[in-house]
Amino acid sequence: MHEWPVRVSVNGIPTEAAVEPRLTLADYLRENCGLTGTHLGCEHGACGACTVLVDGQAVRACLMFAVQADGSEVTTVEGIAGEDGELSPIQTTMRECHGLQCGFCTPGFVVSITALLRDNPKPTDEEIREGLSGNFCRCTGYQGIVNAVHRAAEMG
Amino acid sequence: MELNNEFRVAVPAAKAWEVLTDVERVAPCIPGAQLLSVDGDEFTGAVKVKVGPITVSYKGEAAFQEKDRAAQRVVIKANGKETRGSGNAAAVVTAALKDEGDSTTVVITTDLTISGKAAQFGRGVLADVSSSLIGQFAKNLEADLLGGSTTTAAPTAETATAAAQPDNAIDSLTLVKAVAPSLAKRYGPVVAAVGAGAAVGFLLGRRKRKSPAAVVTEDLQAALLRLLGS
Amino acid sequence: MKAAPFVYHRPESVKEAADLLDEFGDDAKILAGGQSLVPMLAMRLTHFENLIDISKIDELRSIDLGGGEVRIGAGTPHAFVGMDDEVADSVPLLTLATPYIGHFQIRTRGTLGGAIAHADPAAEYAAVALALDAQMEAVSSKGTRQIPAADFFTGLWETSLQTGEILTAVSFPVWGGRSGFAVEEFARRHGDFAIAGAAVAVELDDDDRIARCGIGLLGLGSTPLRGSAAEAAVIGRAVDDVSAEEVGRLAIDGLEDIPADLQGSAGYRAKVGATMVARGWKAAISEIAGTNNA
Repeated sequence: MHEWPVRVSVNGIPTEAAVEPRLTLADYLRENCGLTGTHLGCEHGACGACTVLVDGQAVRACLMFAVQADGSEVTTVEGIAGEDGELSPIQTTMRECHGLQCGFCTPGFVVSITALLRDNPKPTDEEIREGLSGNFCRCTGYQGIVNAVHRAAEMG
Repeated sequence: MELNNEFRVAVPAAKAWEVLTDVERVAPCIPGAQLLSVDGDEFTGAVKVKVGPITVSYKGEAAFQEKDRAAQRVVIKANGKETRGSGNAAAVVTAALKDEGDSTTVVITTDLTISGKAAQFGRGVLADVSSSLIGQFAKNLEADLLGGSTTTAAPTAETATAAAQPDNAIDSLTLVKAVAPSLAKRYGPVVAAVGAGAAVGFLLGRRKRKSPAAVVTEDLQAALLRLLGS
Repeated sequence: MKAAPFVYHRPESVKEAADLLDEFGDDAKILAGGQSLVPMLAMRLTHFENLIDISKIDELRSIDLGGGEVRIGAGTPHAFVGMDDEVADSVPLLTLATPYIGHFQIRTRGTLGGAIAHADPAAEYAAVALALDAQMEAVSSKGTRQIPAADFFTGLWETSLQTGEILTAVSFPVWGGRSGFAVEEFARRHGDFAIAGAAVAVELDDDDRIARCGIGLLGLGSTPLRGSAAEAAVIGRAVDDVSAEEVGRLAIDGLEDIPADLQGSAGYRAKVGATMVARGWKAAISEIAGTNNA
């Protein structure tokens, strides 16, 4: 099969591979990079479980082909904590505020919230709910997650 | 993040110092900037910057933290909030003048903290934007310095606004023509004044750019035609 | 599901892309943000042997105000359109429409040109383009042409772009005078395709009569539509004589082929559509009143 070279920096570490163009960024991260924190929920862009940062911006990794990320910097949930493993504000507050149960949606939420708080450090309740409308959770009923965002904003 | 730029103007350091420590002379040279008020060493203003393809407007205040004539160093602290959005831009700008006889090299170090719309762009884009802004500023500053005091006098706020963008003047002018008549009604006299000022500034700006001895009348005529007609 | 194999091309310029389209004809598809195309490929609803990725072509990412219009490069992501201050000042309908497009993660990649060329009947920017009589710029190896929005949307996911043509920019006229704008949309969940929606632009003259009006409808046909009947009925009338309900009703009356599906019957969509137009009209008119009082 016709393969393309891809060079992507993932969580600060350069990666390189020759991949089929149809390989999504999500699959590249999970299978080629072994970073399974990025989850596949719906694989058509609705649920948000696959959200990662590409060049700092939140995107649906399932809707991007790995070849399109050539030359970019990708941050996955594995890259959100500090170098020494220190949890970021949102990771800390998600834990404190019971923002997760099964944890399947959590990486997508953490990455999305990281982007949201960077762009809007003091969001209102409405802005938080609106901003997170692209991430689905089946377990928590969302309130814990919203609380976590409020707390993280206060911390930050 | 720290951004480093430098530029050179073909005037002695003493003259460059004069302008760089005078808000009302510096502000018109900053592309896309509008000086709103001055209170000694403190001033407020608005600025429109193009970051990548998007235009972001900020409004805020700045102040001279330091004017060390002996060390030839100026430090300005500035803080602006996005006009539409919740982002913020804070900068501490240090300008060090190096006397080179007939010319001066100005080394600019900017400590920039940014959130909101512009923050999503990487350091590379922001560095490009700052280089382009400073390059423009340097050109405007040089034109101002070489033009002499007559053309730099900016008696009205409107003209100061307009003269802020001599290089972007063509865009300003098109903007004025396209938008001023309607925006004037929509937003009132302020914009009309800015629009008119921009047009006047365009003409002044064009004149400033050429050496005093060679005012190109064709340019002036073409500019007037564009302003008045079609 | 995963997409079927395809050959990937990454041209570095519009010219190169156009040449590739000439080479592969209908076996090729332009890939920009991919937010509409990739799910369709992944679910195997469609397939193309060749994908031409234009997402990194810089000349297609631009927002320029000049000559009474805002010209937006087709490769400009929704997020940029929505956050640009010049757009907010000059074509507020675009700024108002942007938050309705999917979710913010979608808006990072999805492009204005992609949304318009994909021509989903519920596409927000397409409705705005129709309401404002925008011009679409199409480039092929044979040259460039301008297509008025009214002629652009020809059928379900079909446009008047010919084989070999790429949509490179859309120019939106800047409205002046006493104008007001609103976008109203209803969907079950935020970010879902709209059940029905409206983009409304109104301009009043100095006597408070309606001088100009543009109503774009989404989700109410196989293409985005123009509420021409309503527009024609209000031009020249005093604004106080026109009721929002009337505008809403007129916009929907006479629409044939209102979609019916699991999300709603045609009657339901018609009712929602009329309500969206009415709300949009009210909001746009009060914006003008608000400006007066300011």
